[in-house]
Amino acid sequence: MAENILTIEHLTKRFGDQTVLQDVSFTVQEGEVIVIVGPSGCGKSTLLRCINALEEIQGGEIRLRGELVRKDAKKLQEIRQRIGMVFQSYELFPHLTVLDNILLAPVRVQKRPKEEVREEALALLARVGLTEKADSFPRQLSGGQKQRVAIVRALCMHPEIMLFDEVTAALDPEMVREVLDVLLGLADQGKTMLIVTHEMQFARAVADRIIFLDDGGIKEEDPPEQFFEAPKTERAKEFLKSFTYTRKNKGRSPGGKNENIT
Amino acid sequence: MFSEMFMKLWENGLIQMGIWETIYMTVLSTAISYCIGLPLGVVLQITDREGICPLPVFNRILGLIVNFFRSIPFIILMVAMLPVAKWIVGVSLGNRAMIVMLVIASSPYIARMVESSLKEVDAGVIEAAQSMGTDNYQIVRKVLLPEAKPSLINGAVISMVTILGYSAMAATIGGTGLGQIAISYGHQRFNPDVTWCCVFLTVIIVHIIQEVGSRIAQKTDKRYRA
Repeated sequence: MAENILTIEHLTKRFGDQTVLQDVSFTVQEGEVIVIVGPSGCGKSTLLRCINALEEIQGGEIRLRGELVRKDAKKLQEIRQRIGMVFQSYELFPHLTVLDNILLAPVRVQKRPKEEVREEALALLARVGLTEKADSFPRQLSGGQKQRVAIVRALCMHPEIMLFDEVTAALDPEMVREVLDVLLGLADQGKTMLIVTHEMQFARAVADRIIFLDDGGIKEEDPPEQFFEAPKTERAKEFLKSFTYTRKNKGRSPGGKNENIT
Repeated sequence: MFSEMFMKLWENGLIQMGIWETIYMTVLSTAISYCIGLPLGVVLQITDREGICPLPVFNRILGLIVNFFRSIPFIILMVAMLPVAKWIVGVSLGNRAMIVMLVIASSPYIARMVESSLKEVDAGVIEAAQSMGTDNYQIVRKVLLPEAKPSLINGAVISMVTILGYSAMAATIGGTGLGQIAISYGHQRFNPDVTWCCVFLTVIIVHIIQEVGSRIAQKTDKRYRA
């Protein structure tokens, strides 16, 4: 039986008097890939931000291998190094080159030897096809390239779990693929990942488990096949329906106005 | 073409001396003011409610002190701070006292300039750094300050020009520089050419500061295509 890396129990998050997450509980096991889906504003991103202690929580607890993750935790910095996070809008440091972006935290925070990290960073960049961009500045990269750099930056910290917060939401369609391919590769290597996404086909392909979040709570937790083929709740069915398009009267209506157009 | 007074001042090297004294006062005061104003600005920014180390009460008190010094007109501050100058540099007259005045007046001003430069740094980038486990000191040193560098340099140019302007009031407490030459030899002895010469020289100095500063700021800015 694989070990539980992340345990979330009865998590409650409020902004003022607005409750965003209510009694959310789940666990993530080593090597597991969990995809969180749900309508906008259901609290998916907030959930990830809580796991990295970027948000204070009002109830429940989050534990990484038994250690409490809280904004006021004494070992917060140490715990955060073990949780990699990739953001929707990349958040690369604009004044640093690609390589320096990646080196900053491993060298400054983890105090690892610069040469060793450099080699690893270059190897990782090669794996995502960005070797020749090592000395570029973020402004010289496309969105997809920036996001791949951001993923490498998080990977280089050797996190025990990676959080991906809608990492393709800001990308042009043809760039979505290059980023998702990187994620699929990581899943194949057995990385533990928690992914928030709106790419349903990708979710189905990559996930070991799907968590459907709606209205601040977990409404379904299924293997992907079951979730996409036969969701249990009405709300999930409705949600999935919003990704398919059908037209009531397809083609030219017989005897319609279009007849004369050649 | 030039008045007798101008020729005399020029031949005795007083105008040249004035240029040097003005530059000396301005540069030294700016440097010392930044030693105080930069950390003060950083503290104001990070202890803000939205900052990385929120301390609302402390921030409010510090803000009030800074605002207090910023709201006193320079000429009044100068008179009020004479005992302080005496205490720090041993005299309450002359250029050394003037530098103390300039530092007292511009440090809070610079603190606010620094604070507003740091506020421009994208909050998302700071969160990214936090998510990697950086502590507050590392965020300030490695993210906040480098990220705000072009804006900080632009702020320094503005501050320096302001300090240069203040330094012209040195004559009030027996200091020297171009301001003093313009007042005592130009204005008080009816030699408009001396006054205008000082104006012209000041314009050139300001222009050089501005030009050099803008270039450095542009060079350090990696955010946009050059």
